[in-house]
Amino acid sequence: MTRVLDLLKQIEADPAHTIHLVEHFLERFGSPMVQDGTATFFLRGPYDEVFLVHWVFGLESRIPFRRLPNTDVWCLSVELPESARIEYKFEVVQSGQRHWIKDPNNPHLAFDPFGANSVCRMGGYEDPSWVVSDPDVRPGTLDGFTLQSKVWGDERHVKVWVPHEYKAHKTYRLLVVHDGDDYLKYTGLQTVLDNLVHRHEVMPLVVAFTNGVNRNGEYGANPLHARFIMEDLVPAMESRFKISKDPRQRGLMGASFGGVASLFTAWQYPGQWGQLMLQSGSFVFTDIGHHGRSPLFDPVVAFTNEFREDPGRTGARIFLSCGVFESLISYNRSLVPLLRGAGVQHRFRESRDGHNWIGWRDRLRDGLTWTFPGHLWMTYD
Amino acid sequence: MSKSLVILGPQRPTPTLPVVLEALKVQGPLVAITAGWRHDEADVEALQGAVGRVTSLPLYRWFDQLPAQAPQIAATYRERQKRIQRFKDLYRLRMHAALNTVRDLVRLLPTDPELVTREIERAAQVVRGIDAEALGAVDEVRAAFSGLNDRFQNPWIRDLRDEAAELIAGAGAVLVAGGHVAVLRNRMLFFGVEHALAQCLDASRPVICWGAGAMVMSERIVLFYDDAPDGPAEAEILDHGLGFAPNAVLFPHVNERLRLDDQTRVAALAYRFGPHACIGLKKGAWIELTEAGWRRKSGPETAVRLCSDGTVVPMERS
Repeated sequence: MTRVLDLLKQIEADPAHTIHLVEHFLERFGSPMVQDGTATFFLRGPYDEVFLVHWVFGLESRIPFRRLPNTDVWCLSVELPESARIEYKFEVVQSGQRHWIKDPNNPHLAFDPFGANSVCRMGGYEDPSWVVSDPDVRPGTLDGFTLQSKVWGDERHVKVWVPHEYKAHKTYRLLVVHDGDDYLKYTGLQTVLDNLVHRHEVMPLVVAFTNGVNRNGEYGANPLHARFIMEDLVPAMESRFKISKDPRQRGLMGASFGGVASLFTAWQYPGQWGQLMLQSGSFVFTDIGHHGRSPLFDPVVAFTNEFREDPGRTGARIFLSCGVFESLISYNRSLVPLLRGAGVQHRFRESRDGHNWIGWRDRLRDGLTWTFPGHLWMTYD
Repeated sequence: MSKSLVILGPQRPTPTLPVVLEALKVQGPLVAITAGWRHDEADVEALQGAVGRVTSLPLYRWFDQLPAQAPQIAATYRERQKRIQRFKDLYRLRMHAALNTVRDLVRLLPTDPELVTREIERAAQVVRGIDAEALGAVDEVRAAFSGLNDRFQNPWIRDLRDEAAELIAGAGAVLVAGGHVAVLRNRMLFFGVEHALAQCLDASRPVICWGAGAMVMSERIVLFYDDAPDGPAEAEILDHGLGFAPNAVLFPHVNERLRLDDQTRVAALAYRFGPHACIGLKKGAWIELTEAGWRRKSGPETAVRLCSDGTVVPMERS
C-alpha cells in the first residue's frame, strides 16, 4: 500500500503531472499493484463510472472506482487475503452504455467456456509447478472413441488418457471426469496427469473424459445420467481397456454440477464407486423454505437433502474442495461434519479462490494424490 | 572395499548407461536386476534398446511363485514383514515426536542462542538415536524369525539362488535398476544375490546402479521426499542396505525430491544421517566407489554432497 500512498502524495504535490505519474507507476508495477494485502487497480479512459466486477462471494459484487481529480485516471484499492487469487473485469459506463472489459494493463488472463477474465494474484499465491509441462516426463496418450448411447439415444464422444507406461494386458484404475473437455482445456489436466503419474504421486490409471450435451439438465441429479455412466460408458471402457473390477479402484470426479453428477451417480449405484473427487460441488440444500436458485437446482436440492440424511450410502471415499470466495463454500463446508459423523473417509480442502477452472486446477494435486495415491515414498526410478 | 561399484543418476529420459558401459569397456553379457519395477520386471525392451541384449534376473517373478512352491516359508515371511511394518509405525511415531521437539527448539533459538543451541544438539541426538534403534529393532524382528535363514535348504529356493549366482558370475556387468526400493531390496536379499554381487565386485566386474538400485547399495536406506502432496515429509530409515557403498546415504533424483535451497532442511538431513556422507544424484551423475574412495566422473553439478551447515557442494572429483 505504501507505493500507492506515495503515488497519491506525489499527485497531490504535482497534480499537473498526474497522468505521467500514473503511467510511470503502471509501467513499473503493472495492474493491479499488489502490496501489503491490498490490490490497487487503475484504468484510464473517458468514462462516467468504473466498477470492479468480480465473483468473490461476500464482497460487494460491483465496487466503484474513484476518479483522480482533473484526470481520466480511475483507481480502486481492495484488501484481499495474502494467498488469494481472484478473477475480475471492469465495468465501464460511458454515455449511459455499460460494458465489461478486461484490465488493459494486466497480461494475466484466465480462460473458461465464456471467454477470459483478468486475474489478480496476491503475493502469497503461486502457480503450482506440477501444472507445467516437464520435458523429462514421458507423456501419456490422449485418444478417444465415439459410443452409441442407449440411454440418451445419441452418440457421445469420450476422450481417454492412458499413462505412458500403459500396457494392454495390465489392469488399471478408472477415473471418469465430468466436463472432460473443459478440464483438459482450462486446467491442463492432461499435463497434470502426466506429471503426477511420472512423480509416482498418483497411481497409473485410465481416465475417461466425458461431456454433457444438455450439460446442466444431465448433470443436475438426473437418473439418466447415472445410467449413462453405468450402462453406456463403463461397459464401453471395459471393452476397450482392462479396468479393475474393484470399486475402490473406480472413481468419479467433476466440478460444480459435475460434482453433483459424480456424487449422484455413486448415490444411485451404491458400492460401485469407491472414489469421488468433488470440486465446488453445487450441493445446495434446504432445511426450510425454498432454495432461492434457478429451477435447475430443484432436483439437485432434492438430492442433496436426501444425501445429507444418509451420507454414507455411496460407500465411497470422498475428496471435497471449494473456494472460500464461492457462494457454495458454506454448502460444501457443511458436508464435512456429516461425512465425519457417518464415518465416511473424506478430505476437505479450501482455497482462497472462486468458482473457476484455475481454482479447480490448483486443487487437482490435493485431490488426485488422495484419491489414487501412488508409491512416491517408495519409488525411485 | 568394493572395486567397481558404479552409481548413476536417473536413466530417464536420456540414459547415460551406454556411455558408461563403453567407457568401462565391459566385456561379456549384461545381467539386469529389475525387481524394483515389480509387475514390469520383464519389460526390458527400453533398456535393451539403449545397451543391447540384457538378461533379466526375474527375482520378482520368482518371489511371486513362493506361496505355491514353499507355502510355509511364504507364510513366515509374510508374518515377519507384517511385524516389521507394525514396528515401522511405532518408529514413525517416535521419530515425528522427536523431530517436532527439534523444530520447537529451533523456533526458540532467538530467545537464547547459546542455551537453545545446546538443547537442539541434544534433541538431534535423540533423533539419530531413534534412527539407529530402528535398524536394531528390525534386526531383532528378523532374529525372531531366524527360521527364514534356513530357506536355502528348500531345493526350489536354493536352485533359484544358484541360478541367480551363476548368471551374475557369468556377467560382464550387473545392472541394478531403480523402482520400488523395498521390493528391490527384499527380493535381492531373499534370493541371496548379495553374495554373488560381492564376488562380482571382488573380481572387478562392474555393478552399475541407479535410483532405488543405488539406494540399496548403501549401508542404510533412507526414504525421502520434501515435496510430498501433504507438505514436506520427514525422511525415514527403511532398512539396512547391502552395504557395498559404506559410509554413504544415497539420494537419487535429489533436486526433484529434496528442497536443496532450504538450508535448514539440508543441514538437518546431513546432520541426522552423518557421519555417513549424504550424496545427492542428479541427471547425468556418474560416480564410482574404488579402493581409494568415491570418484566423480561426471560434471560438478551432477553429484553433490549435502553438508551439515546446510550447503550443497559438488562431490570431490578424483
